[in-house]
Amino acid sequence: MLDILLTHYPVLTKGLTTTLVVSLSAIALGLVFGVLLAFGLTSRSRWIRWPCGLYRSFWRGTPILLQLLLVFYLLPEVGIEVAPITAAILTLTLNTTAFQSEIFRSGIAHIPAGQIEAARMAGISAWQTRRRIVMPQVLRLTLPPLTNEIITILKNSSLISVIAVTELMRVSEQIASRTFQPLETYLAAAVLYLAVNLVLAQISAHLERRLAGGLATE
Amino acid sequence: MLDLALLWETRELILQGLWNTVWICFLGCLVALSLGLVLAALRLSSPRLFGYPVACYVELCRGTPLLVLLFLLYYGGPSVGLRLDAEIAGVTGIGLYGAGYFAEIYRGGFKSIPKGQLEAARMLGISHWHALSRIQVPQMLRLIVPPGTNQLIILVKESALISIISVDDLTKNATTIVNQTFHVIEPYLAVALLYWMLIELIARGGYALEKHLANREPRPVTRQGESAHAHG
Amino acid sequence: MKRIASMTAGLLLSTGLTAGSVHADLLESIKADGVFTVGTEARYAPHEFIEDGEIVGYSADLMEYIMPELNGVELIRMDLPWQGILPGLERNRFDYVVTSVTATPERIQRYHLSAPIADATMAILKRAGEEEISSPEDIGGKVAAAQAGSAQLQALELLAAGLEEAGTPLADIRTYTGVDEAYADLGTGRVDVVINSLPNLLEAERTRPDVFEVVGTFGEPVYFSWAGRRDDESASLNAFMDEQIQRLNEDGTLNELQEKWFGAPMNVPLELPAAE
Repeated sequence: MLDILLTHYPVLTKGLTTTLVVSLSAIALGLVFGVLLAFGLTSRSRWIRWPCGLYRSFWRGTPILLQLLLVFYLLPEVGIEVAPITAAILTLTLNTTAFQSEIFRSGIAHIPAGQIEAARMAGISAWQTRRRIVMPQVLRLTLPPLTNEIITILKNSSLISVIAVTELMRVSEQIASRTFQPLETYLAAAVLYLAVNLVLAQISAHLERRLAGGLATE
Repeated sequence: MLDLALLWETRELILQGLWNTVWICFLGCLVALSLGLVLAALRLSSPRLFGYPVACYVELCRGTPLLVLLFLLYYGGPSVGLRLDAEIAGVTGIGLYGAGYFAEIYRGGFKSIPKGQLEAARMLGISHWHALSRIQVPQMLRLIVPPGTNQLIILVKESALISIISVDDLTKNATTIVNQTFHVIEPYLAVALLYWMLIELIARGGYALEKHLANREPRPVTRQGESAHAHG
Repeated sequence: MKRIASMTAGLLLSTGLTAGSVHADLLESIKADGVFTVGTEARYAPHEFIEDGEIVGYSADLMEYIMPELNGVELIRMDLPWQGILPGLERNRFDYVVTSVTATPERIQRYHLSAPIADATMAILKRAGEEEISSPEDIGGKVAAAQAGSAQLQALELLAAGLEEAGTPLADIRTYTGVDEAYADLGTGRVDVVINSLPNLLEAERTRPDVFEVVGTFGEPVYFSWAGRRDDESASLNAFMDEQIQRLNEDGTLNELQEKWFGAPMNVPLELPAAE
C-alpha cells in the first residue's frame, strides 16, 4: 500500500484536490442555503413552509447517486449547460442544503423563545434578531452535527466520477486497474479519506472548545 | 412529456431491482444493528479492554466512504482469499459500515440512563446482566429510535452503491433500462421515487415506534432525571 | 441578504456555463469557441485508458492526427462510465463521442456512427489453462460476464439464447460497470468467461498471459465507430470526422496504429456495412 501511495502520489494528490474543492464548495454553499432553508421551514407562512418541506424531504430521501445522475442529465434538458464539476458541486449543494437546513432548524428551535420575544419587544427587527442573537448561538450549537455533515459530503464526493469528474475514487480505480493491486490501492484511498476526515474532526473539536465559553444558559 | 408507458414495459427489471435492494438492505441493516449492539455492549462492559478498539472501529466507519469499503471487500478480498458474491459483499459492507454508526448510537443511549438507577439495582442485588437487559435496554430503546431510524435511512440510501459492484439493484437496473430504451429521466426519476417511498416507510415506522414506546413507558419513580423534552 | 443571494446565483451561473456562441452549426461553434468537447469512457484498453493521469490509447493517437485539421481547437475529453456515454451525447453533454462504440443496428438508427475505426468482432476470454472451454459453444453451464449496457452484452444474450435452445444454458450472466471489473472477477473465479470484442480481449491476454486466454470469436463481423448526434447541427461535424477517419484508413495510418495498439492490422471498411 505504501508503494502505491509513493509511486502514484501525483495523480492521487490531483484526485484528492478535486475531492476537496468539490466538497468544500458544496459545504460552503450549503451553509448559506441551509440557513435560508431553515428559516423557510420555520416560516409562519404555509406557502413557504410546504415547498421547503418538500424540497427537504426529496433531497434527504433519495440516494446521492441518483441525484447526481438526475441533475447531470436533467440540466441540458432544461437548457442549462454546465461543466461536470459544476454539476457535481450543484448536486452536492442541493443535497447538503437539505441536511444542513434540518441541523439549523433544530438548532434554532433550541433558542429559548423568550430571547426572541424580548428582542422583538425591544424593537430589534426580525432580521437583526436572527443575525445578532439567534445565529451566533445556533452556530455554536450546531458545530458537532455540522462537522458530521461535512465529513459526509466529503465521503459522498466519492461518487461524482459517474458524472465525469475525476476525483480520488476514480483515480484509485484507474491505479487498481493498471497495477492489478486492488487491495493495496483501495487501502491507500481509505487512508487518504481517513486522514482528511480526522483532520476535519480535529479542527472542529478545536473550534468547539474555543466557542464553548459564552453560550447562553437556559 | 414523461413516457410513463416505458416504466410499465420495464416493470420486471424495476421490480427485480426493488426486490434485490430490499432484501440486501434488510439483511445489511440487521447485521449493522446486531454487530453495533455487540460492539457497544463490549465497550460498556469492559471499557479498558474494548474501549479503544471499538472507538477505532467507529472512527474507521465514519472516516471512510462506504464505496471504498465495498471495493475493498469485493475487489480487494480475493487477494486475501475472501471471494464474496456481489450481493453478499453488499450485505457485509452495509452491515460492517452501519455497525460503526450504530455502536455510537447505542453508546449515546446507554450514557443517558441515569446512573442512580444502576447503582440502586446493584445495591438491591440485581446482577449486571439483569440490570442491563431489564433496566437499561428498555429505556435506551426509546432514546435511540430517532437516531437509529435516521441511520437506517442513511443505509438504505447508501445501498445504491452496490450497483457499482455489479449487484442488480434498483439503481443498476435503472441504468440498464436507460441503456436499453435510450430514455434517461423516466427510469432514474421512477427509481428515485421508489427509494423515497422506501425511506418514507422507514421514517413513518420509526415515528410510530417512538410513539408506541413513549406511551408504554411507566411513569418514572424519580422525576429528577426526566426533563420535559419535546418529542419529534 | 438579497445581495448575497443574487451574487451567489451569479457566481454559480458564470463558473460553469459554457459561453457558447450561438451557431446553427456545431462544427462552426467548435471552431469559434476553440474547444471540442468529447465523451470518452477511458476504461477500455487499448482503445482508451488512463496512464499516469492521461488518456492514452488507440483513439488518443487517432485524435492526434485529426486535431491538427481543426486549427487551434483544444480537445477536452470527458471521462465517464460507458452507461453515460450515449445518453450523454443525446443530451448535449458533449459534442461528439470519441470512444469505441460497437455499431449495432439500433445505434446506427439512433445516432450518427462514424466511419469504422476498428474491428469489434465478439470473442470470449477464459482463465488460462481452462481445458473445458475451447470454443464459444463450450460455455454452457458457466457464468458469463459482459459490460452493462454494451453491445457485447447483447451479443452474449443472443449467444445464451442459442445455448438454451441447444439444451446447454449458461449458469448466469453478470454485468459490470466497466470491463476491467469483469476481467478482475474472471481472475478471481467469480465468473468463468468474459465476452468482449477481440482487440480488447487480446489486450487483456497480452497484459496478463498467465491469467487470461482468448478462446475464439463468434457471430457476424462487427465494427467500432465513434458517434455524433443525428441532427442538422451536427451534420457538418459528423461529416468532418468521417472524412478524417476515412483519410487515415486510406493512407494506412489506421493500420499502423492498429499494429501499435492491437498487435496486428485489421481489415476495416471505409464505411459501416448496411449504413443507410
